[in-house]
Amino acid sequence: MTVFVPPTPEDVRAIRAEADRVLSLDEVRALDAIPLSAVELADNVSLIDWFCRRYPTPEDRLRYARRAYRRWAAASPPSK
Amino acid sequence: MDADEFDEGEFFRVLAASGARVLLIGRRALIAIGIPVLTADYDLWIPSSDAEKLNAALATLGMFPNREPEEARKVGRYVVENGERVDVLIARQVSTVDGVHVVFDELHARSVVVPVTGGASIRVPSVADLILTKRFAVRAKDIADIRLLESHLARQKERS
Repeated sequence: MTVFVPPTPEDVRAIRAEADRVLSLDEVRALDAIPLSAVELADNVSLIDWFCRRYPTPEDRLRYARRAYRRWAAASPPSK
Repeated sequence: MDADEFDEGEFFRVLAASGARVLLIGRRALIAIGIPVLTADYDLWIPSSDAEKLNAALATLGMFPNREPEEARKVGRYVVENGERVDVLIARQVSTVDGVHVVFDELHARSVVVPVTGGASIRVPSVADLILTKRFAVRAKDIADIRLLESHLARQKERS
């Protein structure tokens, strides 16, 4: 059995910093050049379809997002 | 004001009644149109002339700007907050990372009215225009959002 080891605050900071890093134009162009594959498109559409079925109105979706963010923030590992 | 006390419906009603031309952009807009992502804040885009109207309206909710309108117009951005954070882009036009000029008036004309919390509504750019707004300063996480938006666009085209 693999035991889950939560990331250290340093790891969390590093991951968040990377996600928030502004990319250079060359990096953006390189990523733009990767087309959406049929599998990625189907996965994304499936995800969007599920979300819209489960939460049919914008109001439902916005409410869900506030609840989900609160849950995520409460369970999120500390970064300091 | 903490997250539990925040009345999102009242927030949107106040925005709608402010007289400011407001576009909801960023991840909150993605959520409203059906893309499941998480976000902590609200991102708005207003034209340069409308900061005073927006600030006056949000002041009724106890939310105050970190910059005076004149300074905000020079910098192009400001934050309104009181527990909840609202990032406001204030500009007539913004360029994407690859030099496409994105004009507020044009996005506003193509935007759609989305009914939101508490019987209010807000304008959200078209999906294609949301992709452009995600390309103003592209962070790694914006790439994932752009690919979800492109998928949403493909889904819309397939169904139209």
